[in-house]
Amino acid sequence: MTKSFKPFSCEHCKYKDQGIFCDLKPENLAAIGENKVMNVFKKGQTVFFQGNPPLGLYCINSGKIKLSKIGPEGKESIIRIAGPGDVLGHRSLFCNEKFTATATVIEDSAVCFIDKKFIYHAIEKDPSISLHLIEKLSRDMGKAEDRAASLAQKSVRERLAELLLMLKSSYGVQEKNRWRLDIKLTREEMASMIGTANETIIRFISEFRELGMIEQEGKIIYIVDENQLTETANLTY
Amino acid sequence: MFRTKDKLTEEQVSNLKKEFEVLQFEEDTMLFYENQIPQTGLVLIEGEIEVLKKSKVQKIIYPFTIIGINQIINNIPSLLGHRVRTKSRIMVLAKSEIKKLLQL
Repeated sequence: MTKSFKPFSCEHCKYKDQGIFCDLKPENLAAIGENKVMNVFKKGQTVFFQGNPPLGLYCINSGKIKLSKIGPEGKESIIRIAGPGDVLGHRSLFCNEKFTATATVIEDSAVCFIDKKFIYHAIEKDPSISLHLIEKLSRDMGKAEDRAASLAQKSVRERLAELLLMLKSSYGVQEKNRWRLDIKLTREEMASMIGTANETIIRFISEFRELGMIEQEGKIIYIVDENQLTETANLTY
Repeated sequence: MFRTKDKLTEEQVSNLKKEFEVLQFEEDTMLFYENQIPQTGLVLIEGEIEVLKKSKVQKIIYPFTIIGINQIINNIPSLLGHRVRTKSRIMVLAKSEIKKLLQL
């Protein structure tokens, strides 16, 4: 018989001070811990599917998850990469509409699930959750606006430089005089994130390498010259 | 006590429908993977669910079957994965609601 699994308590979660539950009283946080379901998803497994109804909210404890939309012709577009401390599924849940994207694990992830009824109950009990959700939704909207502007106004070269800087800010690990991007994305996934073809990404990565902006060791990308990359990304407007 | 794969009667399902939401799930939706705790308890209302072990189909579940209650209440990972085989209508029993119902 399979043994009972003791889930990681919310009080001990290292992201509890930065998420939507950061202002909860200890007893309310403990109640969330008692009612959540925690699971480990392996790389390639799906947390939720586009087109299905949301059952609750997902909090990422560890790992990385990509959110992607499948278009009418079956082409995948990556909307964003979520990591530890991020919340997923909130938009569809509160709009009461089906998931508009699929969440697929790109690095083994521990994910906590809190059911819809309990979330609504928790919000009624402690409105600080709604304020943090509004804050999160506003930030998400700002990012979506930036992304739309970038897709409409910037060249692929600028968008790639911008993506590398964004990955550096979220997943960069400083190693001496360069930054290692601690995220394994295929060239195809990178191309999908900035709306271009695989071949174009390969060509520009090679150009950035020749110009000394980045270095590559196997699949790992290092940012060497952040200033030149920022200039290339045309972040001034 | 509820056990997984227990079948409910039409009357029991009808009573549960007054309390719990029934939602439609697309074909091939993975409800939960092998060695995971189901996110919610489930009662299949219409359609078919595949039971998987190492990605191979072990059996098919038909309507009025109750899934995952024991695992969700006791935090026990399921030894088998469950995937929607055909577009299905499934009743969703959230952990917090089950606990309330069973007065845990």
